[in-house]
Amino acid sequence: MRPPEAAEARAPAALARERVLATKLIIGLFALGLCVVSNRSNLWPVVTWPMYHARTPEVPPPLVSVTHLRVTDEEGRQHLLRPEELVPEPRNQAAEELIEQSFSSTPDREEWREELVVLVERALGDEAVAEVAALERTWRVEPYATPPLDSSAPVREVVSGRFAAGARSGVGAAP
Amino acid sequence: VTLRTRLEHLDTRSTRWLTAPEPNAAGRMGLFRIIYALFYLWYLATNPVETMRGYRVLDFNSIKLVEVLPTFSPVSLRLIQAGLVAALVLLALGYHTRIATGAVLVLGVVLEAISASIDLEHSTVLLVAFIPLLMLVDGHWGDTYSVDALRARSRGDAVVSPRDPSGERFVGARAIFVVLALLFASAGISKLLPSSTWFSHPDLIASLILELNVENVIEGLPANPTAGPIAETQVVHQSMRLGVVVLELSFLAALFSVTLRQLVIASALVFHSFNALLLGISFTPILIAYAPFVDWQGLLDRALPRRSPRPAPKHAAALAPIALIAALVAASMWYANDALEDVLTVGGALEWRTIWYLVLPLALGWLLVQLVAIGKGVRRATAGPLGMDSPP
Repeated sequence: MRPPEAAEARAPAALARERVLATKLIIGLFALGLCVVSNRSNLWPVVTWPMYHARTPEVPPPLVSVTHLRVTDEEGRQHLLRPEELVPEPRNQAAEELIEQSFSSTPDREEWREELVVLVERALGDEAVAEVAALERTWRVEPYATPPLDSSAPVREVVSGRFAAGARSGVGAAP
Repeated sequence: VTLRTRLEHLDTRSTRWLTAPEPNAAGRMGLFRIIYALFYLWYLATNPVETMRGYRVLDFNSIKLVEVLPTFSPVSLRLIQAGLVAALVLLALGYHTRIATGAVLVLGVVLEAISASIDLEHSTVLLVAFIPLLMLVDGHWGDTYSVDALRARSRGDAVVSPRDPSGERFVGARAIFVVLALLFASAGISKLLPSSTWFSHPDLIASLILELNVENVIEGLPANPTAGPIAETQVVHQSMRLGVVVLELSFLAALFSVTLRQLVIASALVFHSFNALLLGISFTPILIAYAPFVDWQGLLDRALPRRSPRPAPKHAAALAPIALIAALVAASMWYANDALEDVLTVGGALEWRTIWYLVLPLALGWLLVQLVAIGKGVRRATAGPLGMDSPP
């Protein structure tokens, strides 16, 4: 028969052992999970970090184009919005994709446009929006110079699509 | 030697490694809990929940967890985030720490899974999932610097000294480092696979640096003055290509030496800082995974050396309603307006990139200290018994 004080002293030690065992189990399952998921993301939060392993970057060409938004509010004022003003960096790629889909010919583009308008209105401080236009802006680039371009002076700006924010359906993406 | 014997040997060694004493373990974990909660609040402040509201449309990555969850309305998302804020405040104060840790884990994973379905690359698994999970299992980060500890003292329970170096108190921190090492190893290994372009693409780093520089300037970030010179100097960008993989794989080696662990962490912080400030590449939430390996207790003792042990507060019971009120007020403010977010981000000035301006000088200093310590160790090794620590 173990004296009661010895049993009491054992309890924390047993608890500590259980905690260490549970920690090891989590690590083991995670390591196993990494082998199983490979580069797939659907089992998040068990994901690998295949960072930049399959990128094929190129030296930037002399002319680089990016799509921004030219938004007209209900007062008739125009605003220039960049994707990172809709979704803050570093997650601005989601906004870039949203803009691309909103001005594509995909059948569900109205859903994309609805989300785009919500983010645009939020970026403008809940200002009601009348029209959203995709503005393709082009810069002359000297890749090895500092800075490589003058962001305030695009060499070309072309409206590549627009839609009315109030009555989105039926408004084409015509330039 | 049978397989069973080998497994038992591995089990014994891994237990010894996980529970090895660490200076100031108890105080470090208590202070880490506070730093973690504040960092998480800052992270939430830099990621507005409103940008997630269209996640069913912006579902670029099919995350199973998001598929099984119900569709949350914008109001539900705000409520979940407000609940997470309340749990983080309770965690920072250390009131019902284990329950608060569990709530942070569940609410945080739900929100971040939604975020990952929109942008997987910038989602964080360490901050939202593995740190709270391992701390929930470890169960010691509420033992110091917490309302729970003060209430236990006032009840006459045994007091945990912040300078307690018991390894059991540091198991969670070591487990975080194992997860971090496995993730970095996956990054390094993925670059070595035949399907990777890392070593096959000609001048990959040079082109990448130039490409990122153009993207960043268009996005309104500062130009990288080193982009051109690096891209034009073959030896530099080829060394960087190799150096990145060496750093990523060195995390595994760092499991076997405390000296190497501290060196790798300091190097990684310098690496992340330059990536963020010059290349605009940021995995900012990873910062918190390094935090347990700073001796916060030692720093506190140096800053306030003449502290005497305080008696237990007479009205420790009153701390409970104060903690709950603080959590409720913070959650309500978070739900109602952006005032708290503005405080945490210093009016938007402290964001994912600018935080590295604070980290870089500290990381450089830490790296220098580590290198000097290693230099002294090498000198001692050549003069007599090996001064370096031994593998577990």
